[in-house]
Amino acid sequence: MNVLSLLEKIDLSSIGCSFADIRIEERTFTSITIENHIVSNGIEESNVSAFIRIYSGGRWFYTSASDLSLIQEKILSLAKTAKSFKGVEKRFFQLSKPHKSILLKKENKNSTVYSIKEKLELLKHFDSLTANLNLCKISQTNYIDRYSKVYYANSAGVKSAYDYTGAQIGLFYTLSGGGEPFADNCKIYSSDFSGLNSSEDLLKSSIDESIDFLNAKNADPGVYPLILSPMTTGVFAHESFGHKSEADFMLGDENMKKEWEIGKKVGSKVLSIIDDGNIEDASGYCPIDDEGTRANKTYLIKNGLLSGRLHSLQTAEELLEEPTGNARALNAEYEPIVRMTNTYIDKGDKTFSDLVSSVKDGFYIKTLKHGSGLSTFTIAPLRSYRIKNGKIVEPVKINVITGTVFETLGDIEALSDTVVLHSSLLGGCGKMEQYPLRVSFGGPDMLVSKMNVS
Amino acid sequence: MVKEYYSIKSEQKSINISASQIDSLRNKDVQRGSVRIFNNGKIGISASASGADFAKLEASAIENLKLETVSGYDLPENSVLEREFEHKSYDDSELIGIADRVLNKLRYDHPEFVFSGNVSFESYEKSLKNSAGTDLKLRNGYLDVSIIFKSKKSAGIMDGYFGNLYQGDMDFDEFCSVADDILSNYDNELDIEEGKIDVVFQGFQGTIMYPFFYKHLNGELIEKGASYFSSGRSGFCENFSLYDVNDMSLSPSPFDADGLIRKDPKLSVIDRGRLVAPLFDIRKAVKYGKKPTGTSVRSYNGATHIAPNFLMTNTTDIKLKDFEKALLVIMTSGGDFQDDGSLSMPVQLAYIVENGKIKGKAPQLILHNTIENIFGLDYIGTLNDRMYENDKFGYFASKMILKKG
Repeated sequence: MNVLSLLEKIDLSSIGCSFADIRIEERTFTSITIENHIVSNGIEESNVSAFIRIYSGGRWFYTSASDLSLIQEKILSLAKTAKSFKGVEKRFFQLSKPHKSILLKKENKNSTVYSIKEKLELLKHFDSLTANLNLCKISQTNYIDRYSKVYYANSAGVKSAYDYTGAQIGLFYTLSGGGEPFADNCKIYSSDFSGLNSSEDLLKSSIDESIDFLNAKNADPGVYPLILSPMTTGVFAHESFGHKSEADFMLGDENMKKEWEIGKKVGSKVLSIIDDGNIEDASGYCPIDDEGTRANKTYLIKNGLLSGRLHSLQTAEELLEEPTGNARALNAEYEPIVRMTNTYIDKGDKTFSDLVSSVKDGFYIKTLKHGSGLSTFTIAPLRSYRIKNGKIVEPVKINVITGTVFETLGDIEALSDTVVLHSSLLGGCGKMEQYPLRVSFGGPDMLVSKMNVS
Repeated sequence: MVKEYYSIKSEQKSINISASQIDSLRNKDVQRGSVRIFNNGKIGISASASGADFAKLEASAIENLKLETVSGYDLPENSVLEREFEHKSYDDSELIGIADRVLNKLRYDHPEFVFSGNVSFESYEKSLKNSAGTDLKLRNGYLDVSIIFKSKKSAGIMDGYFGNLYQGDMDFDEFCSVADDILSNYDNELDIEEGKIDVVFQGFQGTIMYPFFYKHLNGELIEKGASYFSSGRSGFCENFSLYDVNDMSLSPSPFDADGLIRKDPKLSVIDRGRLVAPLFDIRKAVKYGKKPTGTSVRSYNGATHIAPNFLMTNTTDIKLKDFEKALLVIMTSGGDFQDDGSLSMPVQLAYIVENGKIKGKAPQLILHNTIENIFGLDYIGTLNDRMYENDKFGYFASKMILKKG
């Protein structure tokens, strides 16, 4: 079925409700798993579904459909329910400017042009990296790719479509030399399947580094200066500040609006945090959000000052700001809510060596298991190293590092001169029930003068 | 050749709450399906997230046998069961009524907070059949009332939550009483001494210890020397026993992902401190020459893997009121174990409880301990009372070392 033609035929403006939209997603993906060097799963799957929203009388009404031939019927049925509700309406939909934007750029250049057999052969090759390693007790190698087309239309005159493609290999392993086991992983992402081919050295060096951790001691708890790698910096930015920039958290809270006034000093003057849905090769690529708004490059913090927020149409209207193209849904079974896309701390002007040599007694957090950000943020490190007198000396194990968000943002002392963005299809961002949403995060290496190490 | 057909149909209604108001009503019917073909030691799989056209999926699964995905086991034969867990169903207006009633009460009694969350009802039917005579069906449903709160004085995005699942009627008065306890004491922050303290969680299932056992009870990890239990270590106290339960209405299923029905719905996994039953699905049980334990899950389009159904500890006679002073943990996020069993757990919201009564809120803190001590010398166990009367399991308690955050 030609979805663009279907959208042309669907009538949203004459249903008698203030606003209506429809989003249709066609998604094809491949997933292959090798467990302990035996292929345990291999599947290619294609799905299509539609999500319909109607706003009437101050309330939203949603439904979804996987049979596209029933869409008009579902719209009329939902409109009938919606019109029976009478309440005070907001006018956020006036912020939706009509446009027709078709950004289908990957139709001939996505992961579906490669056969599942080719993907399996590549995965087997990477899986063999742990096959002869006696220390490796458990291994799991995963391949996943996705090609999605997202079509959108609303009653304000927007019609849009864009596509996204990405592929990833993940190597998960547990090493043991007879003592405590050490579980670790390494993931390689590319926006194009062929880009995965040249990743062997990266995977090998990851395994070599993991071996060093078999004999790593636990770090002494305390407050230390820390250098966060780009991956860890990215998770820090995402968890500690990114979620706080999602403007739906401010709705109905006058105090929050005052606390988060644009222009307020919130961090060190070297700090700038950006969210940008237009980065094509990253897993948070979303040039048009799920309300048909074109994505912005939004400075959340610029030179230490609060500069912007992430918005949907509704939050922009409530806060008297402009939409930023950050209304995203996990898939076409959910409604869009305010989400990040590609979020990163901007670069500084130091080298990594400059940062390390400035630390007398601290740690370098290279990789992590997970992070979270509420009133305090937490990061559970995986591979960490002790820094002593300006040199990285030994691997250590750290349970968790914590900090108060605003204190830590103010304690950022220096940033390296290169930003690395980490993309992923294995996992993603969680908010309420919508997990895992594809995003990316990153930054430079970052020196923070003090954080709690447990 | 054995063919397996799996489908799950669910009807979901959800009222979303934002900025202390009802924001939306969402209705959706979801159907997922898959076909697996077992033939000469190989599996072919095909699946769909938008319906279950078995004829189409079957043809595709047969085609996918060429990928040579290894099975290494046979599916259960003639495993037959139909189970429906009694539950109350709700229509849109009833859900809106519940949301309105809860919000009116919270807004009136606690105007210093902003509330979000949802009131939702889901009913589902799961069906698993194979051409070797297995025919399994499960029907269940539940109401979920989940509220997130944020103090208007706070610059954070959320400060805590409370909520419950119901299969019968919601006990509105009890729900509001629990909410009231949590919210009324939120601004009353008390000091607390660092050191060892009795710590109480709403239930063992919500603690960070649960995923530790989820991972390390995996029979394959144990066999391969990659588990905490691999060296034969237990070191847990005799008072501690752990069970895997698969036939309670809030547990995943009375049959596992391959269709195996375990004879004993309550399997003893750790008995008086000793590991007695590492967990295996059929595939890994065959591989290692063990008995399968009916503990496997799979997503509709994935391979089976080992996972407990519902782990529960033994229950003691102790009640919350028996603690002279304890820390009641409401929200903890971001902590983790090392593989040696050492734990650090940041706690974002906890209350100081004396003889069962909340006295005030604890400051932000971090709890430390080791898995060996939590289930060893510091172990207390599952208490004989609970936060909500209809909770299947009671509070869980253990001593931990408190450090201020």
